[in-house]
Amino acid sequence: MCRYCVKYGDGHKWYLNPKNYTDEVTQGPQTKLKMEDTMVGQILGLEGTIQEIMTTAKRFKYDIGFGEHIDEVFPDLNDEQARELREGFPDIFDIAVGGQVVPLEDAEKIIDLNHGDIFVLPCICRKYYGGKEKMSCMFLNPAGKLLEQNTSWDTPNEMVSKEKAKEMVRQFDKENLIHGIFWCPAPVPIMLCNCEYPHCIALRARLHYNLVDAYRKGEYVAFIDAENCDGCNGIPACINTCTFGSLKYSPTQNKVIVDEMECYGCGLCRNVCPNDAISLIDREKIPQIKDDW
Amino acid sequence: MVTIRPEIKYDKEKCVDPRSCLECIRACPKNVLAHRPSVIPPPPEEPKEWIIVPTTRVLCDYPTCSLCLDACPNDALSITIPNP
Repeated sequence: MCRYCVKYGDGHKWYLNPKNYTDEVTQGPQTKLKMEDTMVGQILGLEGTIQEIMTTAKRFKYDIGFGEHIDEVFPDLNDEQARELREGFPDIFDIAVGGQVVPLEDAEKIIDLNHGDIFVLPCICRKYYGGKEKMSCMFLNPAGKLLEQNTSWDTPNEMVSKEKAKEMVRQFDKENLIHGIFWCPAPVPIMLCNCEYPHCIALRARLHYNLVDAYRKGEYVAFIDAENCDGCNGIPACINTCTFGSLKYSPTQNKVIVDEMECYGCGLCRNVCPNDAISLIDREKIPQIKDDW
Repeated sequence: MVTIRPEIKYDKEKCVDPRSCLECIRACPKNVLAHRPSVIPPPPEEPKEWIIVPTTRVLCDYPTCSLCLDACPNDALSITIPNP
C-alpha cells in the first residue's frame, strides 16, 4: 500500500475509497488552504485555493506554469540542490495536484464512484505542445460542475453520462492512452487523465525530473505467463505499447519478460496480446517492488 | 556538474502569429518548444497574444539537431549555448 492509500484509503486504494468522493472530503479543511501561502504558489505566482485555480481560467497558468518553471526549479537531475528540492516536494504535492496511473478496470470504478455526470475537456497538455486536439480530460464532481461555468476559453466541452464516459475510457484504452487519476488537493480526486508520453506534463515531470508524486506508479504490475507467451515469432506486439520500456524480449527463449522496476501498471500491454498471456497482479504481492512508486 | 541548457529565444517582431503557424513546435522531435497565451483573460474573453516558450531544455540537442531553426519561415528563432 502506498502512503496515500494508508493515509486516505481507509483500507481501500485511495481512489476507490467512497469517502473521498463525498462533500465531507471534497469541501474539507485541506481544500481551504491558500496557494499564496505555499512555496509552489509563490514560485508560480498563484492566488486563491488550489480548487479555485483548477476550476477557472487560472488552471492554464498552473498546469503550464509548472511545465515552464520546472527548468528553473530543478537545475539538474544529478545536482545536490535539486535532490534536496525533490525530497521536499511530497508535501507540496499533497496540497496541490499529483496523480497516479490506473488500469482500465479502476478507471471504470472511479467513474462509478463519482457523483453525477462527468465533464470532458480537450487535453490542455496536447494543446500546449501543439499536438492534436483530443477530448480526453475527464473532470469529476464537484470540479466538473464548477468548470462548466468557466470554460469559454476552453472550447469544445461536453457533459457526458457515466455510461458514455466508460465507453470513452474503453476507447482510449484501445488507442493506447495511459489512464491516470489526479488529486487536487490530496485526497480529492479531480480528474481522470488519458494521456501519452511526449505531451503529458505530469509524465514529463516524472520521467525527466523524477518528481515521483507528479505521476505515481499504479497499484499493479504486469505479469507474463511464460507458458502462454510465444514471443509472436520474434515481433512481440506488447513491447510497442509500453511507454515506460518495461517489457524486454529474449531472443533465445523467444519470450517477453517484464522489468518490474520499470513497470507502471497501466495494463495497456494486455490489449494486444494474441495469447492472453499478460495479466495485472497487485504490486504488494512482490516484496521487492512493493515500496517502489 | 550542471547540464548545459541551450538558450532558445525568438524575435517577437519577426514571428507572425505562433497560433496559426506552429512550425517550430511541430518540428521539434523532443517537444522542447510549446505555445501558450501570454495572458489568459477571465471568461468570456478569448486570449489575444500567443507566445512560444521553451520548456524541458535539458532535452534539446542543439547544435546536432536544428530542425526548429530550419522550420521557421521567418528566421525568428535563435539558439545559443551558454558558456559554462
